Amino acid sequence: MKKTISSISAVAALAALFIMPLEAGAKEMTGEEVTFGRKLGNCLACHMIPGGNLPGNIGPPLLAMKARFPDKAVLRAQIWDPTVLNPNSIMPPFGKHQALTEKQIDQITDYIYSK
Amino acid sequence: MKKLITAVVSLGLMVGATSAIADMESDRKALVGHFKSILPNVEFADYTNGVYAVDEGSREQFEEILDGIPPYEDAVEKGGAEYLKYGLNKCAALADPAAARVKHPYFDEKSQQVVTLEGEIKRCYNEQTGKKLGSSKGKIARISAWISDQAAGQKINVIVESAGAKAAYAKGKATFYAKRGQFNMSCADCHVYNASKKARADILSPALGHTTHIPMYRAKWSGMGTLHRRYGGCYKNMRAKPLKAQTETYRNMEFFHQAMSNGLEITDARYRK
Ligand code: HEC
Ligand code: HEC
Repeated sequence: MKKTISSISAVAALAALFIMPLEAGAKEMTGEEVTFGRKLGNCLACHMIPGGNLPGNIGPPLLAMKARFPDKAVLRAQIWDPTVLNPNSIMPPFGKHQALTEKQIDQITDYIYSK
Repeated sequence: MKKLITAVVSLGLMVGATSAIADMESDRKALVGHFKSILPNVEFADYTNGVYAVDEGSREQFEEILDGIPPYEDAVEKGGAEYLKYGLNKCAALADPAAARVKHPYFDEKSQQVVTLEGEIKRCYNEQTGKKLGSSKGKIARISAWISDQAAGQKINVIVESAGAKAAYAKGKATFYAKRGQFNMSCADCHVYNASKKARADILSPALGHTTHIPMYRAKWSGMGTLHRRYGGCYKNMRAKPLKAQTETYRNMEFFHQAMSNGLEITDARYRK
């Protein structure tokens, strides 16, 4: 019994070793990093965003978002699944297809909303 | 802007109407018309130059590369030597290389399958050497490029006539317009509706003319690749799992894709970024 317990705690310790750095890393990601990161939001692939380099021009510039989206939830919904508004949208359904986590979508929404 | 929206909508309707009977020639004319409306300054013949037809900036670089010693030159020459070395001139389908490039892809009534040039090269290579040949890069790309060079200046002329051919064409067209992958994108999203726009530093080439210069040398590959190698890369752009080169789905898509370039010249300018 004691043996099991110590091996369980060993496993837990090992797991912690692997999980902790990941979580720590995720915590360090700023909203800007999640929005601009090529393997994350990569929103610059299609949108001009103030502060981002080499933007694409497939989608409209993301400016003055507070004026365009008085309701922040509508902005988040657009990022979560743009096909609701435009079924033929080229914009990826980041939430619906789990390309990003819910938390990352929150971070991007906040970041874009500040623009 | 309004014009563009109507063009996109009418193309969308056209796509929605992919019923049992697909009419290749009217699809092709609609596609040419679409590009005429979004890119009024691009000459039809210039679509063989892909992204360089729509972007002044990178065109200069392209022309400089062609004026120097293009990086594919040695590979294509080697492909010519390999064509003879492996006895590919002994297969009826490849004995006249220029004719072979113009004939493929075609719909074979006996097997009820689309036969591609690379498929034929693989089959012949196996027949002559008893060995298998890859489908994406290296030897097959070199040999296919050399064969295609023999037809440079001739025009793409895919024929879609029989019921079987029309069915294969319709399937290929559906693959091209279907949304897929984690990013829920279609080939048409990038290469029809948003052609000439920028995806970060990449300019999106028009689908028209896509098949006129392939196999090509790509700087990103540091080497040669076939059309189906490029299909695999673009599946990854959509975060979809690439299919194997020369699978039926890719062959049918190539049949549609090449047919859309009917009337454009096959070119030996095989360079892309
Ligand atoms: C592959 C292209 C592409 C990518 C990547 C992309 N978008 Fe979009 N986006 C578009 C297009 C095109 C539209 C225009 C509406 C439509 O067609 O859905 C759009 C619309 C929007 C809108 C609505 C703008 C308005 O004024 O109505 C917002 C907000 C937006 N995108 C945010 C984002 C964010 C945030 C990201 C990254 C997490 C992102 N987009 C990634 C193509 C893209
Ligand atoms: C997210 C955007 C995107 C999607 C979706 C996409 N591609 Fe591409 N494709 C590119 C980019 C970027 C390039 C390199 C620049 C160029 O030539 O367009 C490219 C290049 C190509 C080329 C080479 C063009 C040339 O002149 O050498 C072909 C052929 C091609 N794509 C076919 C397809 C097909 C078929 C599909 C669907 C299975 C597809 N693409 C989907 C972005 C995309």
